[in-house]
Amino acid sequence: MKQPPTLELDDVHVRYGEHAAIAHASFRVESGEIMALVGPSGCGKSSLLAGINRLTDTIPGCTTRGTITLDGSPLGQWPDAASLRRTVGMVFQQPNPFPLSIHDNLRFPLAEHGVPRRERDERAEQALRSVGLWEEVHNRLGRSALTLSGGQQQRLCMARALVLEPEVLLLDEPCSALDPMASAAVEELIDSLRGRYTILMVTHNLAQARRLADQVTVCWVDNDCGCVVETGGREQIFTRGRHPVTRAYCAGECG
Amino acid sequence: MTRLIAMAVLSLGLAGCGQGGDKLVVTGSSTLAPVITEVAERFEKDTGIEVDVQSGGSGRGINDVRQGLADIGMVSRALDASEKDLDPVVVARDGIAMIVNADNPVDAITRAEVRALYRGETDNWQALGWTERPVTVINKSSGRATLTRFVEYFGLDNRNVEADMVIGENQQGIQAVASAPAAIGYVSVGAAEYEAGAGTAIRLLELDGVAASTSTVGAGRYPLGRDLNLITTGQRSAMVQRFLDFARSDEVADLYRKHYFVPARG
Amino acid sequence: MADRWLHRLLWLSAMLAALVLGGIVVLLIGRTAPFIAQQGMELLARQWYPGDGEFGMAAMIAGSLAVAVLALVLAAPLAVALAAWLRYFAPGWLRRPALALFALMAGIPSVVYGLWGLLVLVPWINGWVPPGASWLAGSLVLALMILPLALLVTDAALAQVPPDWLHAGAALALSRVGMLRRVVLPHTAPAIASGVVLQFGRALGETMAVLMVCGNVVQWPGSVFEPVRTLTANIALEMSYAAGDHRIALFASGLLLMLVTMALLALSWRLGRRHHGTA
Repeated sequence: MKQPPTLELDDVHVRYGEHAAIAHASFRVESGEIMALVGPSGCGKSSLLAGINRLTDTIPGCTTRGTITLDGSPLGQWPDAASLRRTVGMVFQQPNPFPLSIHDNLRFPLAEHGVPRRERDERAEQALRSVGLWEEVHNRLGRSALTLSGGQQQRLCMARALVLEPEVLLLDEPCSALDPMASAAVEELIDSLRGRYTILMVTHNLAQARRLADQVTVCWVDNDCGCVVETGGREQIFTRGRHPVTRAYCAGECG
Repeated sequence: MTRLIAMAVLSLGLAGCGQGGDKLVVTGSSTLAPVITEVAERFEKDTGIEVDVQSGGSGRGINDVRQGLADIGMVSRALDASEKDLDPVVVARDGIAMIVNADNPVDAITRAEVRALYRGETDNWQALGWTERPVTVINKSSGRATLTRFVEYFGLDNRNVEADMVIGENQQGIQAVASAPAAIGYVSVGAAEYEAGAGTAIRLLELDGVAASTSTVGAGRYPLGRDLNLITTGQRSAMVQRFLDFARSDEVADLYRKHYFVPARG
Repeated sequence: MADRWLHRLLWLSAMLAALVLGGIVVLLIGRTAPFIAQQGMELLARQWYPGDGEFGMAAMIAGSLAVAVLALVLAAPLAVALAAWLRYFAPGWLRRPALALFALMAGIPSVVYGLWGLLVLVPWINGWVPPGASWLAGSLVLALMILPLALLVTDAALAQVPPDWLHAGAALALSRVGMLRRVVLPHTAPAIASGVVLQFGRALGETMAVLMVCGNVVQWPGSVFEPVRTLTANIALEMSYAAGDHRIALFASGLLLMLVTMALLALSWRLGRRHHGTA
């Protein structure tokens, strides 16, 4: 299997009109590693994710500046957002499967991306297996995805992102809307994806970040604008944070 | 009680009471209603007697008078044999004009030609001396006095009339002809003369060699003329008689002329 | 306290409206029942010569349906396409003024549409295929009349689509056409259908505009270029002249229109409920 790419952000700013959601964000996610993005609400973490796969393009007045590279090739120079978003998949906080059958939630994106009909079922099965949902749903693929439980829906959304065979995954608080059991299942799933995908995950759950992440980036709000405080290895951030904000935040949350 | 509500709901504002009180109810012909409304206004000013004029067609006028719902009916045609119970008073004369679009060069028509057109035997203007162009035949909806007079004059049966369009009021007929170059229709001479004078794109056709105009109607020369009547039944009250006399007097002759009718007197 | 009074007042006016509606239906049935019983199938089998005691309405029922159905076929797809285009494809600044314009159009009295039809549309069709006043003219005028409300209803339905799905679609780089076809429109179809059915009722009940442009010849709708008479136009044309059985026959056609409209209303309501049930 091909080695997933390294994701690097260099001095990235995301602005909504005059207001900067986050500024001067720089860090690097190594190939196949999981980076957790932690910090208080409103520090621009989600905006930063949306800036990476250019979802910000769809919001009027929203602009992204700075350099984002995959294995050194700048995303700004990619020909179109479509191929970028195929390479960089995304999963949201609220499970948002389409109001279609479980099967069609996976076949519809494949069809849209021109995958031949005969390959779709097999790739859908693969995706469902890789999120551990196949055993649970293989005998009711025709049922509406909205009949699944919240945790199952979120894993289906993970499958829907994976079915397009991305190399990078952006996860925006993927567990925070789920009950503890479902959350644990999704967490286990994310852990299993390590090494195969380069993963950038926003989370408020520091314990989860500590369990899952190889690297952690701490964000903070300064003068009404988000900023990156410190990036480091998991153990370093949680036990020996260099920056007082990091120490205070981790102590407060873990304490 | 139910009957009362039924009347109110179903006949939408039809005045319930006829005789009695210092009030006259006049209903009927939509051709006559506008001018009689003005006559009534002048009558009210002179006498203080209130007059309520409602349009609804000659048929309604006859009906309402027979049922006692109105004191006086307006009927824009001569009464026929089945209507001997009614006493007519001619207040003015009018004619029915055949009209075509102003772009149509045809300016005269005969009784036989109209008959052929409305029976569908002729359906092209070429036969009448214009270009190759299908004729749009406009007829009136059933129940209208104008229609009754029209089919009677031309010896038509309304079942055999092959129309391309059916209209209600005079105004609608004039508008329809003005907007369709190949159309032919028939409306009140007075209304047509007024509209043509005001620049509406219609032309009044000479019928059997006589021009359609209020002057030929007044002189009694226009063949397709009609009497405009006020009708009553039974003994007339003093108030009713007073209104009928007033409606035929010189005092209101100018009103009929204003509406392009020919006053019966004066 | 004030709330309770307001509540009572609203309840009272709702009851009053229902009572009036029920009263009208009861009266119409009471008035027309003996006539309908006496005429029976004659009402469908014969032709319409009220002067001769023939009250066959089939051609006019067909005329009403034909004009309304064609209007719907013309207006509904256009309304849905326009609403979707304004929401998902048009430049952002265009949507608000466009919707305001359609709201304004929805408020124009139907007679104005009829007048436009008579002065512009009918002569135009006349120059193409005479006589001009026709089934097509009626349907076009009605289509123009129901387009704005059908569009606004569709827009409101589209507004109910959870933005989460659109975000998911964007993140998966799905085409907007694909999202519309597979996700948005299927999901909103019941709500849109509910609105469209309501507009169909409106088209069936419309009188003046149709009277002005349809030609009003009583005949089975054959070609779209031929004139037809609708039940509503018939009532408007003849009611003021009608007496006796003729008048009762017109009431009967009014009753028929009312029952059909109420059935459409019920259908619209059920479709609307189904939409809320699954959302």
